[in-house]
Amino acid sequence: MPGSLNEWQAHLEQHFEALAKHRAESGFGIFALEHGLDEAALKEIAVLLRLQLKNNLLLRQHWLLWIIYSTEHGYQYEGDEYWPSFESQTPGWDGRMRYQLAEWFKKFQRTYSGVVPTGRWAEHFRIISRPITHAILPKYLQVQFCRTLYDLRHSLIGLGANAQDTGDIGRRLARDAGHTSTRFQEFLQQEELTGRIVLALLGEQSIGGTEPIYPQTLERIVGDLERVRNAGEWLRETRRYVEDRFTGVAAGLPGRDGANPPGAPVPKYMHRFDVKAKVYLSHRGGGNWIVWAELPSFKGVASLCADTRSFLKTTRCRLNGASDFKPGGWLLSGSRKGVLKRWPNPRKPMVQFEHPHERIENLLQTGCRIARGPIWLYRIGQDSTAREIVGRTVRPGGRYIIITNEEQEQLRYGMCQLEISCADIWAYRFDVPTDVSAELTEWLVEFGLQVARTIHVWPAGLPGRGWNGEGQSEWLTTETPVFGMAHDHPVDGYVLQLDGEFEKEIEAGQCGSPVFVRLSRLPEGKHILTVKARRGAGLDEVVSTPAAEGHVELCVREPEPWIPDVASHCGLIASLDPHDADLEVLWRNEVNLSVIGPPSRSVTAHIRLTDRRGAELLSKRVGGHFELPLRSETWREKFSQILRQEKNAWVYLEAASGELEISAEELGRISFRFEHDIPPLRWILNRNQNNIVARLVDDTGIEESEPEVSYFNMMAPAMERRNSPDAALAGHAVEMPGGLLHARQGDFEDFVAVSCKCILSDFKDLKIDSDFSQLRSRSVLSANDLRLYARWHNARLYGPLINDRWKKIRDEYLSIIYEKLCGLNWAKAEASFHKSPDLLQALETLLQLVEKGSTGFSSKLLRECEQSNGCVRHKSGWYEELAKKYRVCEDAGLSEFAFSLAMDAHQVPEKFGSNLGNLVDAVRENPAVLRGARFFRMCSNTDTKVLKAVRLDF
Amino acid sequence: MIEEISRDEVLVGCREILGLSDVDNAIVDEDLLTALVRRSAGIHCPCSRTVLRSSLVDALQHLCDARTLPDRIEAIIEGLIVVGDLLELHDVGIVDPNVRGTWVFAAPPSYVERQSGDIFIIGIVADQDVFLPGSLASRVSMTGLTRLIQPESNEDLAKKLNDQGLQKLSEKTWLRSPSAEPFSQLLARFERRLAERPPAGTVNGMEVLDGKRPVTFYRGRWSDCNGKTGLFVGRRPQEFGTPIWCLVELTAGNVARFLDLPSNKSRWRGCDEAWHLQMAIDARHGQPQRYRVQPDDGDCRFDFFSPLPAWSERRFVAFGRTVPPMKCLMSYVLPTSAAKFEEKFLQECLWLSRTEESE
Repeated sequence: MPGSLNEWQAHLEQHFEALAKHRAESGFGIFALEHGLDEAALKEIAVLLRLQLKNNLLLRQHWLLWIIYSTEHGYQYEGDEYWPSFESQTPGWDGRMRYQLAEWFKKFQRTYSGVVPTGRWAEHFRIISRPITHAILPKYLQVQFCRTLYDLRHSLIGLGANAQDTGDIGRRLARDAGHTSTRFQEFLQQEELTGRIVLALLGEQSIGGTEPIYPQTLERIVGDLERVRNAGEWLRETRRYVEDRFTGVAAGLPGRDGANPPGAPVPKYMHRFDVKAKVYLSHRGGGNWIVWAELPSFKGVASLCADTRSFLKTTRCRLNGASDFKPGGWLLSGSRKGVLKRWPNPRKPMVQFEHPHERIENLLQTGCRIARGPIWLYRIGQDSTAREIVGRTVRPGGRYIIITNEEQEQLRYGMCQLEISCADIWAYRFDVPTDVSAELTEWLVEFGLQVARTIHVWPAGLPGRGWNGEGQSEWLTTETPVFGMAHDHPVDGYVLQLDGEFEKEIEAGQCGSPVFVRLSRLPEGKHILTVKARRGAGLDEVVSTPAAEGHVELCVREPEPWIPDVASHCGLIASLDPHDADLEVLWRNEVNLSVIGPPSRSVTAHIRLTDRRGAELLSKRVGGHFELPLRSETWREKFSQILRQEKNAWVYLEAASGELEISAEELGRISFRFEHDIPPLRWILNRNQNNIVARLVDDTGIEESEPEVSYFNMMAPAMERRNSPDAALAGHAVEMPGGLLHARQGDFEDFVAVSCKCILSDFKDLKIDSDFSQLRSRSVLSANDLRLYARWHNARLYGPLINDRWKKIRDEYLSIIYEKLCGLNWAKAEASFHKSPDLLQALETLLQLVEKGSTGFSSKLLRECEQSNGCVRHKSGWYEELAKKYRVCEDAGLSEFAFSLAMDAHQVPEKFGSNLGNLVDAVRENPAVLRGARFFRMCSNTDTKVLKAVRLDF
Repeated sequence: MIEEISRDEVLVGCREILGLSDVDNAIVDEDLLTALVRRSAGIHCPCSRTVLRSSLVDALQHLCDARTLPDRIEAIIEGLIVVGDLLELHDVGIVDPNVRGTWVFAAPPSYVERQSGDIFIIGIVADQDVFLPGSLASRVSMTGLTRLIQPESNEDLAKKLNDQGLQKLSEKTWLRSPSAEPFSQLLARFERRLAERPPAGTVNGMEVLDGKRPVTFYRGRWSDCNGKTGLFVGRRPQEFGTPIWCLVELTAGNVARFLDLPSNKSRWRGCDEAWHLQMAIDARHGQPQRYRVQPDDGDCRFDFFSPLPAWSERRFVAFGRTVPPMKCLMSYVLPTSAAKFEEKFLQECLWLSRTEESE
């Protein structure tokens, strides 16, 4: 056993050399945690390293040991700050030595083909990402990892047999893991790595002769998992489930790291995803029918690469034929149904995204459109829902609805028109008689319909998913589809083919007697079962028509995992806007929560805050029992009461994550998780009696420069004061009564609005009278003023009374911006609109002020708002066209800027970047374009009745 | 890839996939039907009862007696609503919040801890016939439509289920029922609501429960409106979907007014309210509905002649067990210790009267 650091260094060099040689063929990178040392050896090395540091000896010659030491620290990492605990356990460690450590990790990667951290997190946390990644599965991620494996155990079986490489498994994990922390999702972005861990944990001894993780290291991780509550059982259960069925996965292939370049054409394998929309008709009562569409889950598409995943998660979309936008992530959610107000245009995809994405658009163009008309056939089911019969084949005795895009003048054979709440089409009810005459057959053929032959095929035994009675069905990869077949005319037998192969002939038996066939388990994707009747020679001689032939389409998919507490079809629909709000957004009370369910029920809401270690800091019921439906206004009003309580504000300082649970007894519960986003450059706040101490943490790994630090006191929110970065890194008390802390390092920025506790002598002390005189006195508004406003607006909020104080500063700041750009008269009219009880008069004043001497432009805006029921945020393009038409602004880019500034001023600096200054100058020259957009915005917040009453003839 | 199989092999395959214990039993018994209804609910819910029923009628064609199958499936759907695996909710939108109707939902996985420590497992998950890990799933015993799991000594079973993500439902919540009140009070409240309804036009196909017919033969009580006057529980047909339950005021066989059930903001189903109201109407006519209690191997067997609202039937499932009915509509066996309290419940909340007769 080695005794000195030199000996340990030599021992480990040999160990990693041997391991690298062994792994050379596999393509598996090496982790520093694969050192093969036991606990005693690790302790001994740690003691010796600390002694060396204490004695100021050279560290470089034992670089490999320092890597092991820091990786072991990464294994114990709890997800908060890496360096403070590292430094406390390593006396004498100088913060600047971290850059040296990063170099040693690079050396490890070069020398032994070590693993290279990838993904957004690794790019942002340049140094600590190395020891944490080399720790393979840090303890704080272990429970989530095991739960995810357990949830996805059904998919893992199928994946084991079909995965192309370990990256496939990692991509599946990243795609399907639900309800996990942001950090865990970032961890899952390292798809190659996580795929390897899955294989190792699930007992894959070797892949191509190489084990995915060094056995002793794997044993250690599994041992630790066994000790963590539930994790061991979840792992055992998953292992039991996939046992003996999880083989044949190839090792990582070069270039398949899951990062397909954005904008590339649709790869061939992408076509296996079923993105076909189904359009249904449902009877809503009183003879009226509605049209609605259901989209399949786009999780498969999301799994392709981080780019498509991110796009689908964040981009709003609209159904072809619907007017409302669905939130980002809707196509990945549990229920993807929406009512169509217009019949979908068959030339366009059923889903249209707010922003284009070439690869997804290509996929949608080919696989997500409804059939071309001019007619569409629907069969009415017993549940008063009509499903499309794509083959346009009717059966005697069946009840149908025929949709046409032209009105039918002559209705025959009992056909009658139906009332349908969908524009651009006509609907006709048509019941096919049991005895179909030749005349009727001819008429149906003229109409574009066929009368069915009668070989009946159906899913037998187990009820069929998505079975429409006409050959479309859905199955799971874990199932063996069984079909029954029967005929009502003489048939000798059937010839069956699956996907054009595996032909099988079976005897048909007598008329009306069924036969049953079973298919083996099928891989994910679309499969076709062809059934062809074989007639006897005698019958073939007398019958001229060809023998009946039909197809059954089997869409095979992985089972969806059950994720507890996630909204499903339980009669309770809760939605958040924004859907991916973090804890800061929740605490700013900017989350719109709405809950829909039976009005006879009520729900309760609980908010819980926990610290990094998962210890509960706060558990409060929000409001009492909420009657359903719960509207977002009611929610925000009740939640503001929680925010106003001082003790909650203090608790929030320590919170790392929050959970909002909506519970409705037997209808179930839905919970939403909120986390602090942890940027590499961040302010950490702590309470010290009545003070708040702010400390800057810099994990950017940027060695070349120091962070810039500034402070804006609440009393003078637009006045910048530069502070020392050293003081900020060491930590200091925030000046009373609080303000905006700002820091920048390279491309990274963080800003926090803090409110300190005041010793109040009077209630009026609660109020802060901020001084904006510096901003007001400026003759010209600059791009920097907008940037500072955005910082105030987007800041994280901390401390007692912060919500009220911050809101006041934000609103006043914004009103000055509009005053500077739109003029004083406009500002007065806006203020009057916000305060005046007489909205009508205020609107009429604004209408006249948009453009001097003309109300044409503003009148058009008002009418558009009235017709859109206030949904105007997505009408930027329309606004640009209108401004051009009315000669208010010929420059579309300027109109777009004005529209954004009027709707969401806080997003403008990021959206327009370096062009911001020019655009601000241009708007100042042409304020009407901004006034128009502001007017549009104010109309959108006004009741339609008031809009209708506005006089336009000035 | 493709193989021909026999009818028996189809059924054995189903039992295998559904995890039923008696795998080689190639018959469509109640255990198989129950598991199939749960699976169908996982696929189709939210949907109407008709969809659940017809999906299984289609799948089981040529595999069992088609004549009795729809009624057997319907009885199991009702039973699963009673135990809480299915939730029948009204006035709820599933596609568009503005288009509301009555739908059957699959209840989320939950558990109810009984005072004895035994735990009822409730809920259905799409794509998974079993949602508990093998170590717990193997301990679940099926008794009729209920799934029960018993804790081992020193085991905190509730915590284990919590950790698996199952939601705890208190017994009080699970057994929630309307407050006890005199039948006259319930009827007066509904008569007031009925009086507020506008006069009905022509209503075709209405059938009502005839108060003059014996209360011990439920199916025989349904009749048309001809010549009848007074307050009745009825069902009126609709073009799509099952008939709508209602409270009807008849004048010489004509529908004067009707009130659709369930009434506004009621948490109970239309049929539950209707059966409860019929019990009140029968009690007011001096012909209260009956139940019979007979000894059964140390326990008590309760026989009923008319349907019970789901909230009262659930109590018998919770405290006892279902047994095949004997010359009645349905029967349950309760431990003697629980029988007295449940009799009080039947008399106070449902105004039922005990009979010793063998009908």
